[in-house]
Amino acid sequence: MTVLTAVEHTELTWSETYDAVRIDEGWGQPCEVHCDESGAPCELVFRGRLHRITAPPQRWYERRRWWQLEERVPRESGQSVVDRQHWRVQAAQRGAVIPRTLELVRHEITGQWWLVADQAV
Amino acid sequence: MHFPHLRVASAYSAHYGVARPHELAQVAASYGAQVLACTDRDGLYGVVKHVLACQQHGVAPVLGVDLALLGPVAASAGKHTRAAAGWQGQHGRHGRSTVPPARVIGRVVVLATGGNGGAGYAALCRLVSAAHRNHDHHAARPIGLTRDQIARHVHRAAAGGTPGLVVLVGPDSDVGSLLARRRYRAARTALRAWKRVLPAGCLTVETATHLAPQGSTLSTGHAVRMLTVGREAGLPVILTNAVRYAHPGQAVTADVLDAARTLMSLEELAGSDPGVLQPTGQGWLKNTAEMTRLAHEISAAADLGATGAAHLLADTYRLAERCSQDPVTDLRVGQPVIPEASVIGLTGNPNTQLRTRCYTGLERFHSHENWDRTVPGLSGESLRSRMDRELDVIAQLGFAGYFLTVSEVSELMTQLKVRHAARGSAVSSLVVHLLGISPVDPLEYDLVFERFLSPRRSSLPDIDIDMESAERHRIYHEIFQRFGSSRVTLMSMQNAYRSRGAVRDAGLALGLEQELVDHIAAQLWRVPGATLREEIAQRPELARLADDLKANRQLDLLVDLTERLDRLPRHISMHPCGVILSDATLLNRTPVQASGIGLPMSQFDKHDMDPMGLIKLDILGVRMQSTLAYAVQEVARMEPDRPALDLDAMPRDDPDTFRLISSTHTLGCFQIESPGQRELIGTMGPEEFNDLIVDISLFRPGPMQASMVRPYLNSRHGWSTPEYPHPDLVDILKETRGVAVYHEQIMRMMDRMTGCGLATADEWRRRLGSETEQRVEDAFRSGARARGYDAETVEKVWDILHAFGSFGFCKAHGVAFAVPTYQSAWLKTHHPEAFMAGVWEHDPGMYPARLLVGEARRMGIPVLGPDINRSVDHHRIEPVAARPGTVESGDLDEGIPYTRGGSWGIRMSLTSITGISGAEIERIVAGQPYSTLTDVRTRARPSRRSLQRLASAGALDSLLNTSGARASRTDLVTHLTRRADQPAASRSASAKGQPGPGQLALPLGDLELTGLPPEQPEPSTEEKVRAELDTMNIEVSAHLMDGHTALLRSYGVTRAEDLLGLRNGTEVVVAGVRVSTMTPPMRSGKRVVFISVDDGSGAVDCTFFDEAQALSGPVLFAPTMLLVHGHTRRTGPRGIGVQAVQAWDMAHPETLPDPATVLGSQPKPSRAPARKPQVTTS
Repeated sequence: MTVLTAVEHTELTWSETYDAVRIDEGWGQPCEVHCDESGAPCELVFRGRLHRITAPPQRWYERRRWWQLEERVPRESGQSVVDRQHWRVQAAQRGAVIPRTLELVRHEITGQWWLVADQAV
Repeated sequence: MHFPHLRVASAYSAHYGVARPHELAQVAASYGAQVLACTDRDGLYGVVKHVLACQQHGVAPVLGVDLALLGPVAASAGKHTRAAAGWQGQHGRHGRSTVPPARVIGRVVVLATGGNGGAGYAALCRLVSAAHRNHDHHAARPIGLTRDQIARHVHRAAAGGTPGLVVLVGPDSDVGSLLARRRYRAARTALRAWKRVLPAGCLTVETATHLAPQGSTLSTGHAVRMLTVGREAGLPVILTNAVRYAHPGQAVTADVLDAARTLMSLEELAGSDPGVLQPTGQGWLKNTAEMTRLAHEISAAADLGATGAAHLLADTYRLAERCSQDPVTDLRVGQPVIPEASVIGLTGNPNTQLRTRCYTGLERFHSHENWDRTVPGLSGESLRSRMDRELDVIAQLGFAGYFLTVSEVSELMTQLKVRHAARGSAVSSLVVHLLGISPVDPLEYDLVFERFLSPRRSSLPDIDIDMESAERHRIYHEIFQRFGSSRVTLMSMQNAYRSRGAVRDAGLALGLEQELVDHIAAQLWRVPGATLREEIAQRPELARLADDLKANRQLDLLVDLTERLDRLPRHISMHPCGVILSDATLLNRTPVQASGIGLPMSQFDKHDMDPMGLIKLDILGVRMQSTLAYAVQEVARMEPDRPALDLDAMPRDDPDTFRLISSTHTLGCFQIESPGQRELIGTMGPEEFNDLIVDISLFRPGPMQASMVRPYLNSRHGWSTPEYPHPDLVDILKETRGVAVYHEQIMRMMDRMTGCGLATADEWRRRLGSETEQRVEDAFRSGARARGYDAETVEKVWDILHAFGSFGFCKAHGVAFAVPTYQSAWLKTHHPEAFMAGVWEHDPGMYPARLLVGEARRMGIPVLGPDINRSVDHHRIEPVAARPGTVESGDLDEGIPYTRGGSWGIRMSLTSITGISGAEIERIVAGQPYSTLTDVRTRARPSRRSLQRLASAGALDSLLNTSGARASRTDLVTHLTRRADQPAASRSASAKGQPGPGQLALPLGDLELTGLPPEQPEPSTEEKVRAELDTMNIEVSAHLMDGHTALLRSYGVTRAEDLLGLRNGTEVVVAGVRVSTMTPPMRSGKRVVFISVDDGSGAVDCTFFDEAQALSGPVLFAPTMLLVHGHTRRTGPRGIGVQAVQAWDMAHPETLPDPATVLGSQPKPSRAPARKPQVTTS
């Protein structure tokens, strides 16, 4: 696995052991994503090439079975473990005409980006 | 502009919202919001707290409700659906026309508009009450309203020209649900229908997105559809976030609440479709930036661009403005409202009326006294001068109407002949006494008016009324009738999650096994839920659980979830003591719902009363009052020629009563029957009423208590001379032998030495022990020096005041309690049979029924078991032939009052026998007397099991005896048991021999009984006692310990009544049935266990220190019958207890020690005298 450089793009740090990433949820592969100030993706690296996001990305959230995944859910925590962030983006590399539709997931605590689906395939 | 959230469910949306109003207000204020709504589900439960929180944070409140929208059940729906929807058949209850069945088809939010003098808020209250009304009458019908019903309310509210209510049709409305399923045409039709029924300006579409996945409710796509449909219909559309919590971390709690509400596990809910669980965790109070971003996302997806977003936000701000409530002009916060003059019988100036009523009181209670004579005591006032002074203050504060209102309620009770008395500081007021609300003349006891009311206290004082517990609901109904149901409502209280319930619901959510969850809940029930993890780590008895947590991830989660649930509101219920009185605008200021006793209750709790200007009367049901009333009635029944006893009017100085009290045989008496109290009384030996006041006042937990009690007792017994800090203070402190005990004394001392006046003194008193005490100290010192007191005196007195701190006791409270204490003791002394019958009937005290029966037996009052012909549905006196006994009536020092020498017994009620229904008892009583068993069966028709229990308890013995049968009770019980055990099918055959209805049985005597074969002997006393305990939990024939006399003799057991004759430190063995176990908090921090055992001749109070606890082990808490080895410990002339060495369980004879080894040890070196056991209220 390559170095997780996406971590550097976010302010979040790898804090606690229960942040461990679950591959068994079928998350695909880690991905390097660059975001704008609002946290929306504007560029990403796909198959080694930099792609621009060509249309406003769509964002939504999906539920997690936190009661199966989490070790602790302390009351003082300000973090939501109930859902995780998903994006659907149109991404085109330089020179390409047709953008690919890619689905990204962002880990709710580490901020690590994962490429989940490539709908051009 | 900062985003105004207009749809917010607080924690007071039970099982739905997570955050309390103050938390929400704080978060909103932190991002600069100027407006915040509270729209709880089904009611306005959080509204008052929301308004106050908003005031605190400088935010304007918006008020609304999130209601269920009801629709018709389809005609083709099956029987079960219709039943579930509340179908009542042709006629509803009370013969009203049927309410059509309904089901929930969605939810809508209704907001109140503001700036209209409260018209919007009033309409909101009535709307909410209406939503509950149908449900209250037909429980199966859901809480909520149909569209047409809502429309009616909106129209009524708009009658004045401007809308009072605005309806929000949002993502979970009927329209929203249809759009979620993409049924566009149906959705548009539904929205058109809304538009048609509502007046202009009263309908708004609500759009919200929780960024749920495409196709879900609360997805952005769904929000787009709401926006589009709303715009097409030409309606304003606002943006909300359908908020349930304050920040993202609370989303987990919302999930758990959903599981708790639906009684399913999270796993089950996650699988169900369309799903109860929120689709994402985005429902928090998002800030302006986040909400603006959402507005843009929705608008972009709807192809409406930036202008669309601006339009959406503008509509939202506009509605927020329209609906902002002004706490003063709209809600009248903090302005109390009393019933209208006409309703409380007011014909003119309330102050004049009040004065007139006080004069009536003077005539009634003080007709033989000179009203202008200065009453001896510290006040230096006469009745009239005190009355005038109090009336002046009341007039100044404008409270006459309130006093008249309370007086009306008291008058109502008096007319219905229901005993009642004011409690607390109100007893300090002569006006309260003259109005008949309190039997205590404050001048007689040197009570200080300023302790209750003074011009420096501007809020309405509390007048709490104790009344007969058994009559409470009846009085509530009467108050409703007297004042009108538009002016009265009951008060509610919020029941919150506590450890046990929280553990259970958290366990349910996680899908843990019931047994495991119950096991953990049982261990945690006394642990505060908020700091559960910390407590589990610290408490030694939870060490095992702590280990389990480390090993089991789910248990770890369980603890987290339990902490999250802790103290969240769970449901409201009727407050047992609160009655709200107001004028006819009451229902404009509070919504109401059913209380469960046939009267409505406000959705507001006791903390909401003052802010909303609602007057609350605390009417407490006190069982002792019912006991006193009952005893008086029994005396009247047995001696109809005698003038009725007037407990309140009689002088409180009967020496016999004090002799009985001092004997410490005070079981059944108010306040003074606990082991600790009996020890104090035994030490003090009360001789007059004032002593009772001191006793009750001293018997309080608190560090001061020790330094009050010892000096007082020493001084009283003459072992030391009372010390007074200065001659000027002698008359103030004389009654408590130089020790400052009462608030009133503190106040008087301050006033005497500084001239500050009693009103200021009360203020100063309140500040003692607080952060502002320094100011009091400065003022006191300078004032006292100015009056010429020397430095040493000032220092000494300040020390007393400072140490007094916030402890000490209000004498008025003490007097209020001492009155029924005296009255109960007086009745026990002079009318013991009637008194004990009352105690059995109403069970006012701390001890189990069997002990109180035993007490009657001890006093030589015959205890007559339940009898089929002679018992009724309550305990009552029955004349019997007195048997020569050893108990001498009137031996007061031995605790034997003036009984009838055994010629009056108490016949036990049929209700003593468990397992017999109230209906059966009613029939039995109605059909008395019975001549044969068949007679009983025919006319009373008890079940076979009930008949068996009656026989087992001995209630049928009289029938056996009169029938001349040779069978014994045992034979009868066997016979009836066999019949009761028969399976139902084979029963009809044996019913043939009975006479049918209308037929008389042939006068052949009781063939059934005489026909029984006499096979078994009568039961032994021990067998009888066992049967009595089985059927009634009470021994009648003999004391439980009587069956163990041989065993006790072998140990040389000393009976309770003989302990007093022993010297201090005598080694003894005592035994008895455990009647109380207490582990009060001790100053040293070490645990001391106090156990009282009863052996039929009295109760023995045993104290277990560390070593004794260690030696006795598990015997301390569980077993019923104990053998205790220890040494006597005298505490006073009548006070004696046992300091235990070890205890054993008599039910396990194999664990008992060899009698020869027990006696013969030396007393342990005496420890510091144990503090008086401090009663912990449970």
